[in-house]
Amino acid sequence: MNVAVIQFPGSNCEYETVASLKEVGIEAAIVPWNSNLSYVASFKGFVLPGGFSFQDRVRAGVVSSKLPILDFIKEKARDGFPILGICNGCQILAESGILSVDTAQSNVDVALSPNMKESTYHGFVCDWVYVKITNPQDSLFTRYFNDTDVIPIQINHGEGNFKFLNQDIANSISSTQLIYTNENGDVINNYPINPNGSDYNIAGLSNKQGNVFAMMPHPERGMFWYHVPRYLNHDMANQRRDGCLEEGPWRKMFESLRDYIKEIS
Amino acid sequence: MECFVYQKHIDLHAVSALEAINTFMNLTDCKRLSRYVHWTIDVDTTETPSEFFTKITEKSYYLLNPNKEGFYTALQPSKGNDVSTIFVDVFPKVELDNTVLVDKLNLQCGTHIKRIQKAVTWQCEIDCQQDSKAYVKTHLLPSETSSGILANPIYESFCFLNN
Repeated sequence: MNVAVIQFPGSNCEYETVASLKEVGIEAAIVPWNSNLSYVASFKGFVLPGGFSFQDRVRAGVVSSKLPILDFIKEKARDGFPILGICNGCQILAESGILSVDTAQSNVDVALSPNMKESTYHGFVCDWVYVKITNPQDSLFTRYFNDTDVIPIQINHGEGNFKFLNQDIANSISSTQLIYTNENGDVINNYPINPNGSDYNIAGLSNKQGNVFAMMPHPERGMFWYHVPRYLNHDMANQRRDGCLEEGPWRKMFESLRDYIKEIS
Repeated sequence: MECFVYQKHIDLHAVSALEAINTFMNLTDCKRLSRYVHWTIDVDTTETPSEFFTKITEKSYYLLNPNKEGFYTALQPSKGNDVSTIFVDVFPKVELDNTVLVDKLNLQCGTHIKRIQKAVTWQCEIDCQQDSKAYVKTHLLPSETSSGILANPIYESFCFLNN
């Protein structure tokens, strides 16, 4: 059982991602972007971590999306291997077309544009937000969650605004989605509940097969009980204040990946 | 009125874009790449563009930081027989509200700017053996066969500037 966390020049979340994977019993390793592909092929799952690969030059994730290792990961995605993109990893998956909604064609049809508030850019956002998961059973990463769960999670990005090539594509999404909500689970398309102006409040998205999941928030920062801030207006924060919270809200995502890899091994 | 802001020393966006094009995308006919921030300003003034932008940059850093950036009021193709130059403007599909910037500039610099727009201009120098415009359109910009690199197909548009 092993998962590669791909380290690009400028990644900065690879160590805590590996720590989260190891915490649930997954053998995980940091794999540099220019590693020999025969070595990369020895892994059974791939995580593209957060950070600022190539310093976000040109656009976030675009330079990394042209690397040979992304062609390799694209093949692995088609073969059904689990692939998780977090934050900058999500941007790379979108720019490379791996997160394509319309699988009949290989062009890019999802993008992460700069954060918008009405008609102005409003720059980088670092905050805790709440999300719900639609059709959680359809993604190997979210199948242990319920669609009624309202889950706190941290975001940390300047370009996390999900946009689609056209309305037909946006309307045709039936795969698992992460949706920004308020603490009561209401989907409200206003800042700061939708902190970056994403279409349909989308914070993360799965491909149709359910083996690729790209999300702008950071699940590895919600792995342990001490990650959850006491100040949130949420049941988990109450438990944290009372000293009885035992695990972070996103541990289930990594456990689900662990169990999936066991199932296919 | 237009100005094109460039980095005086090194533009890391252009360096990485060219590295990606030449090495990762194996497109070696793109020989050089430069990048400018392109400001288009609608303003009431009798000053020449050069006088106007010099005044603005002396009084504020809103359009450029003169310690590390300079500007041209028009772009010129490179001189040389080996390459041909293509200028591409890349801008967001959604028109942005820049009224806050306009108000700040008018207040700080005593100008009468009505509207301001920002884009990125890429100067692509392509091996002259190629149909350079077609090359840029097919390989470096979003097309039916390629997602390109210089513009995102979903939230950005582009147009070619006359050389």
